[in-house]
Amino acid sequence: MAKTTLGGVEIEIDEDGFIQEPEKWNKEVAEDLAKAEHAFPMGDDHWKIVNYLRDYYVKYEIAPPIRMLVKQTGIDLKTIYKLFPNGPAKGACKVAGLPRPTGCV
Amino acid sequence: MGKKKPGIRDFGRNGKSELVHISQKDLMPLPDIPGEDTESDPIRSLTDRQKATYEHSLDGVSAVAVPCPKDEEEEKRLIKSFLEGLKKLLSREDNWMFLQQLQQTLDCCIKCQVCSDACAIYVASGRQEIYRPMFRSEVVRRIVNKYLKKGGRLFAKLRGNDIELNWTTIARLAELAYRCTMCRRCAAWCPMGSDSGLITHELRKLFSQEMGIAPKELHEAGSMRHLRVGASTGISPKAFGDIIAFMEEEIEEKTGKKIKIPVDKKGAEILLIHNSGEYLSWIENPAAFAVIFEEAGLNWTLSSELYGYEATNYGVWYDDVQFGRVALRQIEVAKKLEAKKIVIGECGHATKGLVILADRMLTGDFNFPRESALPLLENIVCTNRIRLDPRKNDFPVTLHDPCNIVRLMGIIEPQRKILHMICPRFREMEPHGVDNYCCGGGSGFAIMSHMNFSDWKLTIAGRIKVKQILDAFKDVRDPSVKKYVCAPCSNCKAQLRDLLAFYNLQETHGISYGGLAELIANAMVDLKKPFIEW
Amino acid sequence: MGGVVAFLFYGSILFCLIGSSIKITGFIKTPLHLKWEYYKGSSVYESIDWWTRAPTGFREKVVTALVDIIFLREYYRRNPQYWFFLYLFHLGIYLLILWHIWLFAASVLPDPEGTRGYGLAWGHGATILACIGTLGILILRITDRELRLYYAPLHYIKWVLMMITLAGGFYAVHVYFGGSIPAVLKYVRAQVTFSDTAQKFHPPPATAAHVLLGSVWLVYLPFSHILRLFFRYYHGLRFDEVPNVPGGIIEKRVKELLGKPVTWAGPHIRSGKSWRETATGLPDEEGKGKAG
Repeated sequence: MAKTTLGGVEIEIDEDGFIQEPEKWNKEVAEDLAKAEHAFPMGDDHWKIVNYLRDYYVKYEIAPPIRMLVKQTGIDLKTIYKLFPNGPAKGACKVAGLPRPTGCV
Repeated sequence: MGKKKPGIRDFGRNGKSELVHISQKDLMPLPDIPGEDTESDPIRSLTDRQKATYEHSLDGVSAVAVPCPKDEEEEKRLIKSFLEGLKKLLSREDNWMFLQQLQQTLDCCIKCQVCSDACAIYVASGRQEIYRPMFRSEVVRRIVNKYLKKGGRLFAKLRGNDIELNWTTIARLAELAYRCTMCRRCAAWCPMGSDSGLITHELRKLFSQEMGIAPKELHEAGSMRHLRVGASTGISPKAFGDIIAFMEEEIEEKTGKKIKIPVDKKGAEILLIHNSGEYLSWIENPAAFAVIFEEAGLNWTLSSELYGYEATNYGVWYDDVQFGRVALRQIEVAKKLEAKKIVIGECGHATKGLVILADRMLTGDFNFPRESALPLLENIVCTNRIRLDPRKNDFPVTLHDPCNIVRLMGIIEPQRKILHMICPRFREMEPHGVDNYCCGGGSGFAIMSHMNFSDWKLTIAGRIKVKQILDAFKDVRDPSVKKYVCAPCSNCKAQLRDLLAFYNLQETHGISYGGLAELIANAMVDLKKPFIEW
Repeated sequence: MGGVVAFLFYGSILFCLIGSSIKITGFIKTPLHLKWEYYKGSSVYESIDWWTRAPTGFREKVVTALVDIIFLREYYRRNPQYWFFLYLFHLGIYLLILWHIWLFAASVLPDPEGTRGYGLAWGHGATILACIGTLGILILRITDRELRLYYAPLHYIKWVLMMITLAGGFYAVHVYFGGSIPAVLKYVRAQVTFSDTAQKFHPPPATAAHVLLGSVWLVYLPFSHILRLFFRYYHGLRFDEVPNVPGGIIEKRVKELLGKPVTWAGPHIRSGKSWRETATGLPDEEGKGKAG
């Protein structure tokens, strides 16, 4: 584990840059995370995805099914990969401050 | 190449430097992939901080994130702990479950190197000494012979027990235990009945069960999370309910059929358990199962109970205790639901784990009937229980054989019979069936990607699979022709997804991947929209 | 000297028999293992409700084992060049073992003259096959990098010793006994009938040397991998489709094994309890990971 400064706050991150203290997440943190994920500057679609992931996570403590993300945001998978080159699980979830996805996903 | 290959003698030496450094020109060539002839290293170097924190002296890769010991005291303690664990592996109490095979493997290797040629990783890596299947076994064998057997140190060199046991040896072994996918092609090749894949398994067990060393993805975020939350993905019963509702919507939209997916139905003929990762990453697979089972009129159900919607059991890969704990809980769910049998969806390790590996751990009413879904799918398709039109699958399809289901369970024909029935342009890859190559994601690799390990698994472990896939579609290279690699296993799918993306095969060759049930659903005659979306 | 030879001759046979029995008993008594097989073709798991189907027949298993053992089929498939010499060696040794058994059997029969022709051809033929095999293996093990790399120095000594043993036997029969099978049989008869102590205690040097080397091999056998090798069939490493059925003998053994103590020290185990209790329980709080 390592500490780093994101959005002006010191946050613990894991070896792959997922933040370990989800309560410290905010817009500025997200933008700094997005820089490392080649998803900066963040446009409306970035935020749409990030906000949806966050909301789902707050409710169910996991990231939603990829299909659900695509359907509910109306942004197809190809575009998601363009917005977040590392894909929905490793890219978008990281920016949204979710923990690293676990299990066979 | 003039560089001297590292031998076993070097294994415990020079702990500060990497035993091998793999460069692009070492690797087995992939002539069909553009940009493969670059000079840059295939595997990213660890950062200086990571290098200072984690052991990486094997090949510069850290899969396990073994912390570097603080001082000599700690090293000594770890060496002692390792030897304790090794003794336990050879004990009739602590390792009754694998003792026979382990002794067979330790006793019977005659160093004929047949296994080396069988190993996808060894061959793809450009024959790096340390990746030989028997290299790992030989290190263990020498340690056992020299340090655990009476008089082992006498004439150790003459008897071929030339090894030094120190922390460097152990740290490298811990990493080396995660450079093998346990596909056990080497074991099937071995004329002597030695099983180097088993050595990998036993080593991982030693590190986890005795020393508490295991990759985070498999242990902390894997089986521990599974036991705590109910699924290694973290899906809770509440989230599961939400996902099923979404799945029903999806099905209606695609097929025009309004299906109520049976959940927690008591006394059903079949309790179907999927790898819970399917719901998150490939929901079309469980959806296809639902559509097919409903159309065939089966009496089936899913479970939303804790442990009841997760087929995975990561213990299969590294820990017998965790394996037993999870398996018992899965059976418990089926018993409570009063189902007649458990059917496991398209997931290799889960099928082998629950059907075969658990067989001799379960007694009394815990010995619950369990089987793979593939024979059932074969029965539905080949006896025309649902109406299918193969013309709907008029695209090139090839089949990847998941090691756990095919070589390690002997389920070879059902998936082929289905594809011959419903995919007019089905072609085998070479080699296939029990001679198949692992996708490179086996034994948990598909879900392991910390630090620079994903570079290793994509450039080395999955290399041969990429070549096989390209060769299978040699006659239709045009990227506008959609092609489908059918992989009836979640783990293989995750690896294929990452391989296709890494080598850009979807764009340059039009290659996609997916499960088997999706192809069946796609061939159903009365769907509103095609089931497979490219 | 003579006493030593006689002692070695009978002693090594006794040692080999007792040693092997102890080893084999050990193998058989190893606890039942989990199913961990691999397949060369379709299995019973291709059937719906596979537990109601009959597993692969005993006959098929025995045939597979015999073909493997007699022809070394797997080597032929994987490395034909090495197989060629390995096979010559094994064929020669198999024939020599049979020849020695025949020697003992024929020596007590009344008419040794009738065996003159084929007895000699059999013995010499087998020796030559084994010699070519040994030499070929030795050369390949020296010249081929793959075969040389992890081969212990001791094994080279073993092959040289094998050459000497074979040559010694050849010399004893061909030179010392003048290629006369009846003479060999007469000598063997003296050994097995415990008669003619004079010859026993003053053995001809050629046979003494051969007996000596033979004894070394007999003493080695219980410690070698050869005994273990046959147990892979018994251990069900390939097809092991016999399921654990409720009330069956496997279940009985499993129940016993589940009662064995677990002493693994990993933080998530540390139970000190039986396997049954350990698996039923959950990891200790202390051992819990913090991921989530």
